[in-house]
This record gives sequence, structure tokens and C-alpha cells, in this order.
Amino acid sequence: MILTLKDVAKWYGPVIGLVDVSVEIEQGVTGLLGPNGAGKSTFLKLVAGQLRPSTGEVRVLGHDPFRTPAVFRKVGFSPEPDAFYEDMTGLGFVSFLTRLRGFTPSEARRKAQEAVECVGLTEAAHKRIGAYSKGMRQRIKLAQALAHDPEILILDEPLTGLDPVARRRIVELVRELGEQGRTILISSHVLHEVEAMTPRIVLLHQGRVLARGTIGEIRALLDQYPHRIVVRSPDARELAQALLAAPGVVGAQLSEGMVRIDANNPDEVYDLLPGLVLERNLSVHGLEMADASLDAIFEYLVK
Amino acid sequence: MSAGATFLVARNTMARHLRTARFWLMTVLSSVPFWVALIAGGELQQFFGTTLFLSYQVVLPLLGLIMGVSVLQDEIEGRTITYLYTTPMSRASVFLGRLLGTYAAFAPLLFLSVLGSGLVYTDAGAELGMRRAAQSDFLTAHQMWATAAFAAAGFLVYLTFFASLRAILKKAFGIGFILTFLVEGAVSKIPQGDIAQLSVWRHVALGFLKTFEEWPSGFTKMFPELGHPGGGEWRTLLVIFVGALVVGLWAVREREVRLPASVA
Repeated sequence: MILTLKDVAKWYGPVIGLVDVSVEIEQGVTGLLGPNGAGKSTFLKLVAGQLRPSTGEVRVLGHDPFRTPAVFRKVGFSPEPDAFYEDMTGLGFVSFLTRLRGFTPSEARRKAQEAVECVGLTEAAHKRIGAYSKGMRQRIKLAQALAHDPEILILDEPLTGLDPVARRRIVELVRELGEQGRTILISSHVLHEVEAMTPRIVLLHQGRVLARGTIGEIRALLDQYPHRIVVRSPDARELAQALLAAPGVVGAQLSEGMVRIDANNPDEVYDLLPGLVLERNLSVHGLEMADASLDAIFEYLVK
Repeated sequence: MSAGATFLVARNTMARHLRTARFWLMTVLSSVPFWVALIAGGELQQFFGTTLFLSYQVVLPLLGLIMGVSVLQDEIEGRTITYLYTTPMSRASVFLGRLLGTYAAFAPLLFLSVLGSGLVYTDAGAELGMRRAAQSDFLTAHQMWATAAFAAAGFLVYLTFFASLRAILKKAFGIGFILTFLVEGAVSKIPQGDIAQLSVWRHVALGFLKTFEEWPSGFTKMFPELGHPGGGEWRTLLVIFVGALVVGLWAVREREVRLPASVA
């Protein structure tokens, strides 16, 4: 396994950072989700060797990241704090850190240029970081994590402060890197951001792992909550009436041009719906799962 | 690879120090003994002793304290240490690089200032119209160089000591400041007894005084508590330096760094 935490706890004096966390992270993109104070940054700092666990064991490619700096040849870390050597240029900053990773000056500069281009900062590469906007600072942070072509990327809130265009670019970049076979652990408290990058998540709440798996898998675990299906139709009333009679459907709510169905087993509704529509000559304009989103799942889980 | 990375960190540290306002403030602080020697020397009876007191007992520990604490503190407060600690460099290499870069940026200031102060008391200084001290306070060229060399060595010991103290303690500046009074006797008299053996400046001063056949009168009047050189000053300085360095390297290796407001 590429990243593992086994029975890990971390306290800051009397304050709990993480409790009893055992997680294995595999190749591809994994989102680390949770509200502010959930323990996301502590989790990432442990994996990035910035902190030592109070108890338990953290392993990155089989090594303790706190004790084995050599592992950072294969790991890139983009920290959450907005901190830089302000007097350096963006390219100079990335080149400097790439050289510290063992590359020659010319190699480091070439790799830095590629990374800066990758995050869309070529034009501002020679400007002082002190003159960068918040979004540019986020991107240069990402560039230094990418420059040495790491197998593992650890990104702490990388989308904060980005404008929509830059955000989209970074989301696509993360997805691409994941598809190339890298291991990417990315934290965010904005659920839809992570949802756009990966279906695989680890949910943290008050220092504990609340759930992990794909969004679908986690949703399926929440059997006590009926699944909500939204059907958009000009014949919503008739459709609601018919579906309410179906087994497993526990409720329906009508509103303008749509009906929200609560069902214990949504697959039964999907199987039933085409027959109903044909039989009664109804129109359906749209069909969606309303509570398979991360927001909805997270809301259920922390209740 | 580690030596090269240490050198890179040292170079980066030095370059960044040179661009700070603090560098110019330290330039002013370290040049005080020289300006005192040049301007007020003729007016002071114990001229030489006063200059050395300023150089060795005030400027040296204060500069060592301020810059020693900053070796790690700057990176921690600026939160940039995370970048350095997520490279394949060992933490010890980062610490050494920072220490060397800080020394390279500030030791020349102190060296030049003390050298300039010494020049005032030499025949060469007299030829330049700078001799204003009492006859007994004159220095040979060898003693002038020795003054500056001991100051540079003392600065390295202080710098390492306070950098290591910061690696162990978050409140290193406050504790270090108290130490400069209790152990070093900055702006006061050196304590007597065993604790005097811990005083870096005492060893620096005694080592320097060994270059005289007879101690300058101004100096002996001012520091009767120094006693006479008993030998082994360099060895003691080396022991303090190596001891502080080992403790500092151990601390950066073993202790995690908590950035400001890092609880998440």
C-alpha cells in the first residue's frame, strides 16, 4: 500500500487532532473531506512527515516520513498556509526547491519551468512572489510540489482562493495526474470541489474517520435514510400517484414540474419507471439522484 | 547531495538576510564598538577595556542571541520551514545550512567592526591619526587580528548555542536574554565561581588576553573578576560549540515543528 495510517492518534497537548485512524490510500485521487477542525491538516501533516503520531504508525511507500526524508524524492507536498520566500520570483522559488531535491541547476530550472507552465503561470514566472495574487500563490505552491515529478502528491486545500478558470484547470490537472497512475491525496472542506476530482473519499469529523470509499459505496451504507430521486415531468402528479403504490417507495413530494420520490431501494424505482411511463403515456424530462452528492451524504453522516 | 543542499540553503539564507532591515540594524549594533573607539576614545581613561567590553560582552552575545534564535525562528514564523522539511534533505542539513548562512552574513560585520576598533590602538592606527588611547593600551598588529578572530569565534559559539536553544525551546529568545545576563554578565559583571566557566565571552576574552605579555592596564582595572588565564580557553570554547551543535542537531531531528496556529 502506498500510504497507510495504522491506529494513529495525534494530540496537541489536551487538544485532539486525530483519534484511532486506520486508513490505506491507494493509487489514484483520494479526497480528504471534513469541516474546518475535522483533522484534515493534521492527517496531511502526518503523511508529509511534518508531525509525528502520538500513537500508531504512519507509512509512506513503506517508510516513516518523519524519520526518512529520502522518501520526499517521490513525494510532493503543497501545504495549506500561504507562506513563501516573498522576495523570490515564482520560477526561482520552484527551481530552488527542486535543486534541494537533488537536481542539477539546469535540470531544476527546466523542471521548474515545466511545472510553472503546467499550472498556467508562465507569464508571471519572473515576477516576485510578493506581487502575486492569492490564486497565483496557490498555483506556485502546487508547481513546487509537482516539479520533481513525484509519485505521490499531498495537496492541502489547493483550490482555496483560485478563480473559476484556474480552479477548473487545477481540477483537470489533478484528475489527469490521477489517471496517469499517481497517488494524490487532496483535502478540502468544499465538497463539490472534491467530487469534481474523484469519487473516492475519506470523510473526517472531529478527528475520526467517519466513512471511506466511493461516494456511491458510502451512500449505500446509509440504509436508514431513503434515497431521494427527482423526476422532472409535466405529469408529476400522476407519476407521484403511480410511484407511491410501488413497493419500497416511502414518500413523494410534489412541486412545480417535478416529483421527489423517497425510496428504500432506488433500483426498483428505476426498473419500474419506464414501464409506467409507457403504460400511462406520461412524459419524463429528467431523472436524478438528489442525495448522492457529497453534501447530502456528509449531512447524513454527521447528524 | 546533502552537502550540496546544505550549501544551497546556506546561500539562500545569507542572500535573504542581506535583504532584510534587520541586517542593517545589526550592522549598526555591531559597529558601535568601532565608533565608540574612534569618536570617544581620547576622552576615556579605560579606553581599550571599554571597547573590548562593548565588543565582547555586549555586542557579541546580543548579536549571537538575536541571530542565533532567528536560525530556525525565521523559517518557522514565516511557515516556510515546511518546504525545506519536505525535501529529501535531512533536518540536520537544513539546520546546518541555516546556521552557516546566518554566520556568513553576520560574522564579517563583527569581524570588521572589532578589527576597526583594534586598528585605533595600533601604530598603524596612530599613523592614520587615530591613536588617542593611553600608551599602555596600544596593540600590536598580531593582537589586533587576534581581537577580531576571537570575536568571530565567539560569535560562532553564541550563534550555535542560541540556535540550538531555539531548536529545543519555543521561548528561546526570552530565556537566552536572561542567560546573557546571568551567565555572560552582559552589561554587568561576570558571575564568579563555577558558573563563570560557562561564560563564552570570558573564554573569548581570556584567550585574547593570552596574546599579551602583560595585560593592558585599562582592561585589568575594568575586569578584575576575569582572573588570570588558566589555559584551555580554545578547548572550552570548542566543547561548548560542539556540545551546543550536537544538542541542536538532535533536537531538530527528534522534535516536530509546530507552525503558528497549526492545530487543525
